[in-house]
Amino acid sequence: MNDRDGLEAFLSANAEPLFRTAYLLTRNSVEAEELVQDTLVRLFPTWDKVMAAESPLAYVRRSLTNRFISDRRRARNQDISLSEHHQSRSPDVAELVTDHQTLWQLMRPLSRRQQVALVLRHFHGLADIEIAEELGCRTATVRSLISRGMASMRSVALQSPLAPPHAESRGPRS
Amino acid sequence: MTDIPQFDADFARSLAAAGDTVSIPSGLVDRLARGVLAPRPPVGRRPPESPRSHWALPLLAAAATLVAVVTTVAVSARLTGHPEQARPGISAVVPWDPAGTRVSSSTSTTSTYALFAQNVPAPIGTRACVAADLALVSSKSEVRSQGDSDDETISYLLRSRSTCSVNSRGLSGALADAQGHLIARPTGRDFLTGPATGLVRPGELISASTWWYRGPGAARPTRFLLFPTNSPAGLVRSALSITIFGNLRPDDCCESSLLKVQSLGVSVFAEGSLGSLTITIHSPLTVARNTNVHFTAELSNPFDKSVSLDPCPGFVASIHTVLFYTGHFYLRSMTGRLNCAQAPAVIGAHSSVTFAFVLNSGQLPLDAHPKISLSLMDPGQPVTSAGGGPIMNVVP
Repeated sequence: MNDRDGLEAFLSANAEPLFRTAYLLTRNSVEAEELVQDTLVRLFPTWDKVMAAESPLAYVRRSLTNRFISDRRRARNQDISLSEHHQSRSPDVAELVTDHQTLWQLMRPLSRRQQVALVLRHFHGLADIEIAEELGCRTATVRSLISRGMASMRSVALQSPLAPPHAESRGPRS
Repeated sequence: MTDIPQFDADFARSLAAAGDTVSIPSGLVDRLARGVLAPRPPVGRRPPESPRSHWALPLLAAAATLVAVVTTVAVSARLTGHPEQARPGISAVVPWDPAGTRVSSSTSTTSTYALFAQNVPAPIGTRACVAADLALVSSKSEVRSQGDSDDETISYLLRSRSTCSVNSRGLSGALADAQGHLIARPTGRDFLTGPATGLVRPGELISASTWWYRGPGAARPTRFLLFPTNSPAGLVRSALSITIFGNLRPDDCCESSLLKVQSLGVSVFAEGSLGSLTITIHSPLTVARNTNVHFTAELSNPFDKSVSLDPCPGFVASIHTVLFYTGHFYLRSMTGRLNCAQAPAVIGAHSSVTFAFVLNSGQLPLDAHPKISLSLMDPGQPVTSAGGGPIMNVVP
């Protein structure tokens, strides 16, 4: 199979999961497709290395996430203001994260490495060691990225002007 | 205490749901494959390139310390088909004269996107141009069909009535349907550097272009709304409105199919200046490593005022990789002055002068897909005019 056929076969099987990953990082379909395409354009000159990897999808995804982390040009999305968004919503912390726009708003202040770690953990279900391999860091760093990222989002959610005064007393949802 | 487990569980569930439920764009696989395999910038993701377009141009300023400082420069496209742009007269080729030229090379793995023309920075306090300051001189739209999708570009030339400033990194534009409703707003990336605002003086011209990608089934926009300042919201009535198309397809689609509206840069210049020249590079389509590349640069003056070649303009000629194709950057540049001794003293209105150049290709990577670019500058001044040639293939 030549590189062209290999690429087409790879895309048929993996374009969608790559796009979904990119979408969760960029929070925008246009930017997501562009991120996937930019990644593939960069990798294609050495496509034989991709195909030789134990998991070509993981190889490409790793390149994609690294590109996302390092690409400082990629514009941040124009997320709506959290406080604006909350004005007509129920003051329920749990509900805050059930809405995509709020989800994006919560993730936006996070570092890109934190965002990638969270996506790999919660969307792809990767273990610390697998995330560490993708990010090229130690597992302790992964745990720190995820822990601090979650703490940051919780803090943002509760510091919202309309955060529920009774949130601290909420018990576990049944 | 925050209900940490519940919050975390809700976050995980919401994130997974966001990824699982995002709609996959129609034709994603084909578009990605075409974008990677096609010998051109990815479909719908890169600005179309026409032979007469000014394009990304690397500039190498070689310091005496031999430390090369690389600046990539491009100038937005001058319009083809302007009312005042008659077909330029063809002159004999001014021969190459290597006297006084210097060559430098640079390689990098750093992604370097093109910069746009270096306009004169606007002094602090300069008022931003508004639509009332600008008059549309001409516009031109171009559609390139790529299977089930289209790249569309509108280029426009404006003349300023006032002293004011524009965003050098791109004028903000939006698309509207036949009823005047906005159907797409700008989503361009701010990857450009250089002075953010350019000074515009009365009578000066502003050349810029904007492109967008139109997905399958999308209606053609009929109006392009130009916002000289970057605040489209609420300024629709004050925008410059440019008619671009009739409605050639049923208005049956959705906003999401108009994916990206991105400005390609802004060039401010006066008629009769070097900046008013259009540079067209004629170079071979293949290049061998370590060989002399012979190319010509046609300097066309599409306007009514002659452009003087006294003092003799400086130039930077480069052979460089196009980063949309490769992950590394290779640049070999040559600086010098035009061979004015054997050229006309002026480039007359609606005329052109062609100069020959020779530049060694150096150690071009075989996968480089390089191109030749040339920029001109008044002595001691930033680049004022630039142009790029076609993408070339490297042969051993």
